[in-house]
Amino acid sequence: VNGIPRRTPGTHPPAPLTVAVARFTSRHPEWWVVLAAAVAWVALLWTVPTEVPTGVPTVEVPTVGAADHGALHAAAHGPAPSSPPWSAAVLGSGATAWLLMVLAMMGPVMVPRVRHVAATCVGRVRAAATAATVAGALLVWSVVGVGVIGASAVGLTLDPGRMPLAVAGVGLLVAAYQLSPAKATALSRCHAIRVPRGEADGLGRLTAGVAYSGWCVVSCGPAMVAMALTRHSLLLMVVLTVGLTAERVAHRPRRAVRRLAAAVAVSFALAAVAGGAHVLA
Amino acid sequence: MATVERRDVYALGERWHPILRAYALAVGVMRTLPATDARSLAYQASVHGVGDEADPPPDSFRGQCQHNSWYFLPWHRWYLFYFEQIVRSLLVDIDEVPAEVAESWALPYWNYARTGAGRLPPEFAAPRLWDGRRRNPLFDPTRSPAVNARTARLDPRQTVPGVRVLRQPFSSTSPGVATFGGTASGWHHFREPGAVAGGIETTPHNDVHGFVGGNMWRFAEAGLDPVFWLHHCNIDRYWEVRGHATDPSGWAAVSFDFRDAEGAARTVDADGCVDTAGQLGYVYDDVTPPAPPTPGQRVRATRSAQMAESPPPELPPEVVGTRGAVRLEGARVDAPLQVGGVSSTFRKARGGRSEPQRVFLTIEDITGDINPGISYGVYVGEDADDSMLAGLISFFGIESTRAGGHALGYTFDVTDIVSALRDDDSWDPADVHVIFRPVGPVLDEEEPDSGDAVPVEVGSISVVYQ
Repeated sequence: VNGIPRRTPGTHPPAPLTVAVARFTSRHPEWWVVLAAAVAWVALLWTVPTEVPTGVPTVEVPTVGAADHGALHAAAHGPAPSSPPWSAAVLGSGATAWLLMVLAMMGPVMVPRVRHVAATCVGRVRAAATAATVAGALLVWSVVGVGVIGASAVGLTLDPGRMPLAVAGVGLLVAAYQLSPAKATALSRCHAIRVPRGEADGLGRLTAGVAYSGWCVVSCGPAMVAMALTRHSLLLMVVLTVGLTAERVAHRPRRAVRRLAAAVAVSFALAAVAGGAHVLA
Repeated sequence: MATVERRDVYALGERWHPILRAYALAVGVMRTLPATDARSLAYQASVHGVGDEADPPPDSFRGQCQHNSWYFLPWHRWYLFYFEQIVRSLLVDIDEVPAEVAESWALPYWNYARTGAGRLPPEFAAPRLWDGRRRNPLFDPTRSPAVNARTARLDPRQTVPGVRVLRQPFSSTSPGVATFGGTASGWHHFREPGAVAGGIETTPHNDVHGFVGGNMWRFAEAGLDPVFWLHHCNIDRYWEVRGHATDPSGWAAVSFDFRDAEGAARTVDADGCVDTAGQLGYVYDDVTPPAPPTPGQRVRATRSAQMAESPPPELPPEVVGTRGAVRLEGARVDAPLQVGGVSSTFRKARGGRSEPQRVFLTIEDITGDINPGISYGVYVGEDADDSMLAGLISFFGIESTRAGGHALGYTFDVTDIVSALRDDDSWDPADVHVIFRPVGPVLDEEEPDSGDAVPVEVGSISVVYQ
């Protein structure tokens, strides 16, 4: 006797490719979340203009891969002179930028959560369970996005070229928050939201996804919002994505939190210095 | 490096053996040192845990204990190693301790599985030292009164690892797979979802913490009880009983910080402590595997041994049946659940095969305010006899579930039980019986099964196929 000795009669073995795909998705139930994040990153790189549109304030800041990611956020950096701030084009551009940013940055962050949901829910509803979790997260971040886009539309933005000290100050505030007990509590809580596991618990998993991302917003939101409302480079997005993901998967999470705080402070300070130099020039 | 021998406290042969006299005197000194001194008992306890477990640890030396993780065994091994060094360094300066005892002193272990050893060792229960005058530093008044009075003993099922535990994989990345050492994780302090304890952490580790009570119930205070160190020495011994043939690789990515007997910072990792004689300078006097503790467990051990050994399945497991909350309050609780079929992905990944190689039972999302001080046996099938006992659940650290939303979790390999039920035509997937029954402590005066205990909630019970 080894294990359960019964076999399902009359079944034909699947094709080798089918087996290989099933094994891959069985081992990596998070594959589609990673794919969505990768597509979002490609879209962000693809859509960053090589020349900043006229009318959008610009400043040379450290970048990765493309000149100035800030131009994508036309709505996020104050209204452009040629279009009203509440126009469909501006709001649509802002919403697209926000959605891409959330997918690109929160996709990697959610990988451990998606794997956990896949491992603990009934296998027959595994795909639906992970989808409900991600849907709950997107709901929460969409609400945050409405606030960010609204703030941008009324000009509540920071341009390092005009307000370098304010940008540096925001960076310090976010770094200080990173080191606060509130951040530690939020990070701990978002790890600990329990997942309803049964076949009929779809709504419960959506709710758990909302709760999970609610704590994620408390944990990661200040950094995300500060970045979104500040003219920023793709480098800052990369730094934050790596840092926020590391907080969840690093062998020493507290060290990852501290390192991200330092990285945020340095990144915003660099942007402020570059902006200040631009003003002086 | 001279090699010292760790010996069974119940086999030392005489009351207040010189090893225990030396230990008592050293602990007495440690109790007088300021908490800022790394050699003090207070500091050593804080290395394990500090205050509210929801708070981040104050530094990399304190609040570092590893539980529900594959680092449970290596971290505690290093913890004992430095504690033992500190005790030995203090003994050199205690005139009452003979030099030969001080130089070769090694931490004894409490092998509660030995016949007659299920009660607290008498030297730890005496309020006074051997001279009858001085206070006994080994006595901890916070323990359960019946434990200190030695009118309570461990149930035999609480004293040895579960039937299959010593043969299980050391670790797994999946919470649904039963392991010896715990879920593969990063530095871990009840922070990660889905991390479950290994079999050796489950029983006897957690059960004995619950049995002793008082300081032993909480992470931050457990090290204040001198018997904590003998208990963990026995848990450490079980790693040697099992052997190191299938110890994991890749777990040295995490390092641990300790302070040695001189207060100097030391950074160590899991790979540095697998060879006790070569790397740490100690051996155990007895590494014989324990016998099953009851006739029913002997039946299960025989049945399990008849199963052909095969490598652990490489594909991830899948939950096939689950149910929600159960409240345990000291009485028997029946928790039926339904088991359905596997997913198409499970079947395709195994070339069309839908039958599992292994079956596991997970008991997760366990929460409560206070340790109830008892364990619960988890049985599969309609008859809650020990041949169908999957394992015990107990509640060390349950206080930490109050603040942060974290929970306790256990996984048991029940392949042989399900196989036996099928062979007996008693396995009905539509009506799988999971039964919880209180286990221990055994009291001299009354039956343990009185049906009244501090409640705990079990959030989910699942059957997992691999």
